[in-house]
Amino acid sequence: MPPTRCTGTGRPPAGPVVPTSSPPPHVVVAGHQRDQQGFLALLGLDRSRVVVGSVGWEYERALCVGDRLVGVRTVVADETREGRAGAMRLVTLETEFADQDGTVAVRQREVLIERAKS
Amino acid sequence: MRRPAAGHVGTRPEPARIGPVTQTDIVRFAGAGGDFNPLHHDPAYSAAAGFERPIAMGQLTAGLLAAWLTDWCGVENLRRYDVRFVAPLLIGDTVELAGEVIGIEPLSAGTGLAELELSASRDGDTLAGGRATVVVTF
Repeated sequence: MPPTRCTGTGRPPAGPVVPTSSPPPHVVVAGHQRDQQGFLALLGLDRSRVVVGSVGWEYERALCVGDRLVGVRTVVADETREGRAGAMRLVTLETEFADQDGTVAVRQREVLIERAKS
Repeated sequence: MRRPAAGHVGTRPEPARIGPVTQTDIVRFAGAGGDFNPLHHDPAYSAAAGFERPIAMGQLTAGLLAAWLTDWCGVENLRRYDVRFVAPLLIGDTVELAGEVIGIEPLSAGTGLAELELSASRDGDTLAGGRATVVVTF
């Protein structure tokens, strides 16, 4: 089978290029390999009340075997809203994953919800 | 690059059913992804958090839906994927994956960017809703 070229504006790694076979959202794994306790402490979140409300990914190109990505995560919003069970906190995070050339390959946006205390 | 899938407004990729989801599936996913939040494997912890039994990671649902989508369109043709979690996927659930092209914006001769509405549901109840933008031929 001929090598499959990755698409988009970013330059894929050198050599025959094969898209990764894992599901497209898999960059989210990077967040789990960080210091999660430190992350929760930094934002003052109670893990037992945190759920993920939504996540989105924007792909400049498919990720390929051999890619080396660096992700930078930024808090872009931190809001409190009144829900049926009380005040909820919504924290929006954006992560840009840049490849070996420094070109952004994937952007991820997620909203964490800290549910009201029961 | 693989040829994009053929699509037009109203195209529905063949729906899929996956499950029943087991605790083993959830633990395997935790091992692969690194999400060891006890909500997903500790019955006492999840009960204290208000769930009747451990819940699957939202990312498990998102991953199933995305894998189903890209099996149809090819991962290199995916431009955007958004998912909103509505209800937790529980152990024992069977999840139904479906979607429909709701719009197409021409890209170049014979190809376009298709907007799809996606859903992961259980017995007709939505667990997650989503949108995706993919390159298609038409």
